[in-house]
Amino acid sequence: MSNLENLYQAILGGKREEAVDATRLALAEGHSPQYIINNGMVQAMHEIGGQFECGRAFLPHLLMSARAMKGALDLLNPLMVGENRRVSAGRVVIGTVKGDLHDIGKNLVASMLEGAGFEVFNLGVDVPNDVFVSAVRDHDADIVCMSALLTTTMGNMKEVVTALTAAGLRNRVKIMVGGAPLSEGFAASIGADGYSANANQAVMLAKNLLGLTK
Amino acid sequence: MISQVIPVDTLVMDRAEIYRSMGSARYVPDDVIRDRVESVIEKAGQVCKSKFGYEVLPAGPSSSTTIRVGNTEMHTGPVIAQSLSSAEYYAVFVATSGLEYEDWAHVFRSSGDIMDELIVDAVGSEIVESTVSFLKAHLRQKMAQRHMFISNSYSPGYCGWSLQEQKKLFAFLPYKPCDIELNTSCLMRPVKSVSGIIAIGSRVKQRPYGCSVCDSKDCYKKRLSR
Repeated sequence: MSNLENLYQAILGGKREEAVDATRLALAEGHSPQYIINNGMVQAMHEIGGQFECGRAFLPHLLMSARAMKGALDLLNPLMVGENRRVSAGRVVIGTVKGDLHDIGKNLVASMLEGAGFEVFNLGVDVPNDVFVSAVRDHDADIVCMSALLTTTMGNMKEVVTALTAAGLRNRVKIMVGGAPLSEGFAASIGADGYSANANQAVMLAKNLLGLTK
Repeated sequence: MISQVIPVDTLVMDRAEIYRSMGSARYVPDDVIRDRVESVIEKAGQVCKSKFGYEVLPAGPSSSTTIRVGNTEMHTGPVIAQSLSSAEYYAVFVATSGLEYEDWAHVFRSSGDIMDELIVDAVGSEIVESTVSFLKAHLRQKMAQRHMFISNSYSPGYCGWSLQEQKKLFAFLPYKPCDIELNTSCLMRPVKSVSGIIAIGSRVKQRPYGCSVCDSKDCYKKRLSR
């Protein structure tokens, strides 16, 4: 099996150390970082994402794959600068809205986005509106992701949308929302660009919003 | 308030429920993940002090969508109101995995490994759910001596009962019951805490409950059960 095939299998199987080793060997073979990403890593994440969507893989499998991909990407990242390419698929600011302390769902999405090559700035939980706004500005974010698990806090998402609009940032950032009580209809009603029901769909949505899907 | 601290090793932790929280009802973990889950449970047992507390209050007249606890009307919605209709008393309760678990989980999660984070979260949820089961067993035994039965437990935020009504439940309990704080968003801290109500009475039955009798479309429990 070639090193790229090994890398594909390692990421698909969620084996981080093996993925890092295979990446190192693929580099030693002379493959460029971008070639390795395109021909080993992205395909593996696409495959595990597809398995998840049709119920043949579950959240832990996705996370283990994302973790393996992140390990391999960490090895490639410093080398990508030399190729004069943009290593990041996009910059994402993510947080749980004010009044809400739930973080696992938001962290799952953050982890999957990192695994998909996004640069993620995790603001944590109970994030005030102005912190979302300044983070979008400071990190020149392409996407802001908001999470809420309570019916009593989901309304705060609209306030963040309003604050981004007031700050003149709304037109340059895409807004994604997620959390147990939310829906597509709710996302549309607050002026968000999209809603995702799980971490895998969040990655697909982020790619769609940034025009990264083929 | 009657309260009790429960060592984790006396709780009956349902592994299937932990795995369900981590993925779905159809998720079957491999040996590596099973070992990691067992390791977290073992470590949790060394630090966690789960606890419950409750007050028993008289039941007043109910309607098709409300119940009366003491002098307070609760708008539980039809699913819960009908399940509790024969109550003579209500146990208003809280249960929690405790501050110790929350603090330990925070440190454990700081390793940055998302799988560890997922496991710690799922185990924390099961600790508090099994603490509620422990409370129900305690209450069932106690009420049996008076020839009374108990219902399932019901919580604000589920099956049509507004989360805001949690404030009414906390009003029956002492300040920070079992060290649980309720913030203005009706979020409990420690996050792995449950509040709710259990009907008590000579004609009370444990009716079918859960996703099968609830029409909420966006509940995460319904999503997990698929």
